[in-house]
Amino acid sequence: MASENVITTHKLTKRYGPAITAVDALDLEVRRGEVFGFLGPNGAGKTTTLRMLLGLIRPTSGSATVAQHRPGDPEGLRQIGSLVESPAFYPYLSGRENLKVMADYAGLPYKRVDAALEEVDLADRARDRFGTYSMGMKQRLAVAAALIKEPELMILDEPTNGLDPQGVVEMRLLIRRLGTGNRTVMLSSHLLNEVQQISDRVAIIRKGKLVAQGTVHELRGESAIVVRVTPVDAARRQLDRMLGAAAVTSVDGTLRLAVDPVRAADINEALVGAGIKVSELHAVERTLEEVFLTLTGEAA
Amino acid sequence: MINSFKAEWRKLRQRPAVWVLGGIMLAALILFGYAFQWIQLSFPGKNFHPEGGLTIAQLKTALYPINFVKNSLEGVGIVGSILTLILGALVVGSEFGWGTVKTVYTQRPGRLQTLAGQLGVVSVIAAIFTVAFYAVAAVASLGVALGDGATITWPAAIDILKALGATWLIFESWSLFGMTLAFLFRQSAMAIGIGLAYVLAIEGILFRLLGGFDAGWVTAIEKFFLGQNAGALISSFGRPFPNPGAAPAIVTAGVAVLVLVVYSLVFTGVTSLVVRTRDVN
Repeated sequence: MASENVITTHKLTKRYGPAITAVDALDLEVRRGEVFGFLGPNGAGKTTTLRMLLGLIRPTSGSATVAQHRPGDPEGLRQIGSLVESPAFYPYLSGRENLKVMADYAGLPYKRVDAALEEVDLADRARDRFGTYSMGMKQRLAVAAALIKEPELMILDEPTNGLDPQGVVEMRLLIRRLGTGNRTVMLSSHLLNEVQQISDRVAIIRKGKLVAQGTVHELRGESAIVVRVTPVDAARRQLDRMLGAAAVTSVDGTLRLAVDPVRAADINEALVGAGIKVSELHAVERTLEEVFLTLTGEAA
Repeated sequence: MINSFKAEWRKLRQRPAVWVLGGIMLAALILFGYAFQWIQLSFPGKNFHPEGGLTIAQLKTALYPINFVKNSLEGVGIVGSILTLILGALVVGSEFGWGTVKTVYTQRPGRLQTLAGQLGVVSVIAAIFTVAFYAVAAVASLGVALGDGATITWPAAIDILKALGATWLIFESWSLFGMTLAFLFRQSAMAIGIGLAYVLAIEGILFRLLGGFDAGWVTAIEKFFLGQNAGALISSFGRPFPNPGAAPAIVTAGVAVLVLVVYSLVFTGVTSLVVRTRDVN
């Protein structure tokens, strides 16, 4: 059951007129119990995709299954907690009253309201009007509204938007807590460092198309070795012969070797044996940000 | 649907704008329906000459309990239609303005169930407005009669019930019109603006001007308009005293009720279609 999909999309497409394809034949799989990062530059189609998954907008073509139901199905929505873009509640109602409204809609007992407020650390401001809340409190109330359904799936679109650094850290911890157990969290965010820290798997889209999907480890993938050597030209020739020219790249006076780090000792031995001085040799792994920038073509 | 109704009721009963609108309606009734008229009739100026040969005492009977239904119905027309249209537009339009439509549509109930809850609560609020309207009118008329030392006689219960039903139907039709406009334009400002323009410019000024031509085709067209039928229903209850100069009703009360019901059903149908099929961005 570990690989059971909570979200599956097949060729999911959304067009606005003949000229704009916001989401283009997207195939996604989000597995039960994982924190799934959904990444893409501004305008890539992330929010449009999430809105289709929640039934807010209809796909032009393709299909999706969310929590075993078609998007927007009341039985499916019962199992989904969501925050799409900015948190939206009634400004004249208190935080608690807003959650009671949501509990009424979902047919849930009010006892879950207080539990959810405690969970997001808003209990002491629960009587204040939503209109007086800071952005961080609004985001937390939105998470609380998602939690009162005790959902098996949470869809969070940019939950750290507008938060100060402290708020970002708190939200990251909260999302990590939410993602424990059997609950699935689908998270869209610009903050790649945050996503890298809390996601099990990620998908990256660009111009509506899926460009990568896999575990964070798989995407960061190709590790490398960086060596600082003297003389560089002789080292380059030696390494080209040893590893192939395609695996060796000059970067800021160092050589970056696209090889498994376990070969570090062999490389060191070969270089030293050829009379080359090795002043530095270490393994490096690409960050998710580097992967993202490469795949989305956003790198400088 | 019960869940949606509970949620909508929790939202709207705590919304100040709803009760401010109700308060304005009641204030307008007391001020224009009773207070100003009583002051004018109790302290008439030298230039005040009642029309139609009526005496001040006869005119004052319009303010007494026996006529509180007929007198109040005068205020249902333009003031009631505008305020309930604004009510409907605000209830729906604000959901788009605050972005809460997204929050609501991602809760459990389907869109049509949510709409049904909204329609139900707006209908209840229209009923509360209606009852409050006549309760305040009854108290105001009683106060005037006691102040003047007049005999206190109430209209027949059946007449009061009919007036309550007719007023609720008129309020309901206009609030549904406001809701429909707000769903179509996805905001309250545009819905209120267009709604008011319709009520004042088309139903009010245009038909009044065209009425001056005494042309048959004007009456034929008027029969299909919401405000004209609401007006016909109101005038079917009669006036507190004869007014020979008043235009005859364009349709009977039965036809007016039928047209208002059809309008309500059409507004509900259009709204359901829009809610069911439209993307929420």
